Amino acid sequence: MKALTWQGVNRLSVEQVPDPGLLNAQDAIVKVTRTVACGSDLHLLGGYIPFMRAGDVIGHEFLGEVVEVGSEVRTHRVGDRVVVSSFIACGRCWFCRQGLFSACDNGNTNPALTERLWGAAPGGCFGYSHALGGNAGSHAEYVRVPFADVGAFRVPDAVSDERALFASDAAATGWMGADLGGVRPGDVVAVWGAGAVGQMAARAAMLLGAERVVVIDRVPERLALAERHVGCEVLDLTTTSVGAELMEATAGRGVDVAIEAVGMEAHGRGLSAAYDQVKQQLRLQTDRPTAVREAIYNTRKAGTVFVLGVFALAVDKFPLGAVLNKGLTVRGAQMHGQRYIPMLLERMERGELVTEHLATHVLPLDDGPRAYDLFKNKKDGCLRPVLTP
Amino acid sequence: MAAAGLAGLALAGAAAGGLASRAGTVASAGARPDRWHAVTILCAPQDVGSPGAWPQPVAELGDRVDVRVVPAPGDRGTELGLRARAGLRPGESPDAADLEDRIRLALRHTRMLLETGEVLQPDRPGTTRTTLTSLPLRLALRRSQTGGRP
Ligand SMILES: NC(=O)c1ccc[n+]([C@@H]2O[C@H](COP(=O)([O-])OP(=O)(O)OC[C@H]3O[C@@H](n4cnc5c(N)ncnc54)[C@H](O)[C@@H]3O)[C@@H](O)[C@H]2O)c1
Ligand SMILES: [Zn+2]
Ligand SMILES: [Zn+2]
Repeated sequence: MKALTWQGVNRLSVEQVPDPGLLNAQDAIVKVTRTVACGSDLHLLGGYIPFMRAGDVIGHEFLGEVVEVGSEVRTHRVGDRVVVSSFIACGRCWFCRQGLFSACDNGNTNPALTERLWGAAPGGCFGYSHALGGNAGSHAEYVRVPFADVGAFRVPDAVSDERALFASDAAATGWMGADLGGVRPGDVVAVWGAGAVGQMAARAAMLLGAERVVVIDRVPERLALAERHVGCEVLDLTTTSVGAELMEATAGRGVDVAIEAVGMEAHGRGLSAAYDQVKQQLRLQTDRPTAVREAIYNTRKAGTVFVLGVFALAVDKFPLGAVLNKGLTVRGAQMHGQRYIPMLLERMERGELVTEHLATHVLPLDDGPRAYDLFKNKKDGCLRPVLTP
Repeated sequence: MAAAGLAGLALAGAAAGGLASRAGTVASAGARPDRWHAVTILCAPQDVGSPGAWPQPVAELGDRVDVRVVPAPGDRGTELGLRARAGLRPGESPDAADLEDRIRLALRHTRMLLETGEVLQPDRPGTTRTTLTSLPLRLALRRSQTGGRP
């Protein structure tokens, strides 16, 4: 079959690779009909997640049709249209039972790598490096889905492929940020990043009853999409002082909940951003936490900062003083898709959660490298390119 | 982007360095040859088995290991501990490091079996090409199931 593979830093190519087969009784094979690039893939492409090998198939946000099931698969049948959680989880370990699916004990077949790095291994993920299991990704004609009863969800007939696709990762991640960030009615919420994840976090905060939701970015086209389709307020960090705007908007309190949806390649203005860029390039820090710092600074006393952006290891100049003296809660997680996808599909069916505008470009799998060029370099207003294998 | 690539390599090296060498598996300061390796399994102690009737991955280690099964605190299930029998421990036997690797693998596989009913298989065949820059990662991956912390 054909698949889009990582070949090295900033190098992708479409290659012929072996078809996947059933390896466990709880596996399903899914014929991928839509698969989309995520901001996380840009971190792979840029070489910031150093657990990739040349030839690895990438992609983790996808939807397709079940074409084969293992003998222990109970809820899916051949022909089912399913959306699949980007994180792979068993559904039965202690963490899965708490709804913390991305912390699954049994979903990652290479646990030693991250145990060494972080002290414990998270679950597995499709197409996201050998540190998260070395699973083949979804930018391919077919993909093997382990624990299919737990991670794949039948899409209601009334929900289109275009909409359901984003339940796989972006919408579930955004929802988690607002939910575990503790957004409540009356809150003022700020979201850093107007990519698909930030926009979905903003929408989730609105649906959870936030009084005001402000999304911050530096790309005008993305802010315009957020304003139009999500219905939130926006701030362009290149033309205004984010801190001053947020202080004015909250009458000096600071935001109740800050959601960071930028990650380790943050850009910014001024000294702090320049410092991060230089330090990362000199290998003195692995990640650039520019937006995390700003989020912490602008959160009210005893507020919550939820980090959705992906970070690999260590950051520098982390404002621990602000965390302590303001009494903040700082939390982060990889997405617990299995916890949210059924509810998200229901909201999609009711029209409360609309995602079609995120798919600014739809291209055949063969155009994968070009799709990533559009996405990475934010060309032609690209927010997320969808590939149709 | 070359700089990013280098930063990446440094990070991979950090993760791989200790993994590739066995010494990096256990925190070297305070190493104790009789320390238990353990995992917590979400099931009742009796479901983990009993002497003569351990799950396959533990049974395969035969009499080379001591086995300890105790209830975990709260709602966390059962703690399964394994350690090399006296005489086979680090410093006592040339095969001690191999046995510790097999112990960690047996613990992980036992948890998978008891919690999910099967041992999750990694994707194969792989699609990767071997390159020079992937050497630290390849070394790390050799012990991606047998190294680590339990
Ligand atoms: N936690 C999870 O499970 C999970 C899941 C999906 C994605 N992610 C991560 O979430 C982050 C966002 O994902 P995405 O797909 O929306 O990515 P994206 O690259 O499409 O969007 C990131 C946005 O952040 C903006 N940005 C850069 N610097 C900024 C700054 N200082 N302040 C405000 N905005 C800034 C960029 O202009 C861009 O629009 C990434 O780090 C991604 O890896 C995490
Ligand atoms: Zn993603
Ligand atoms: Zn689990």
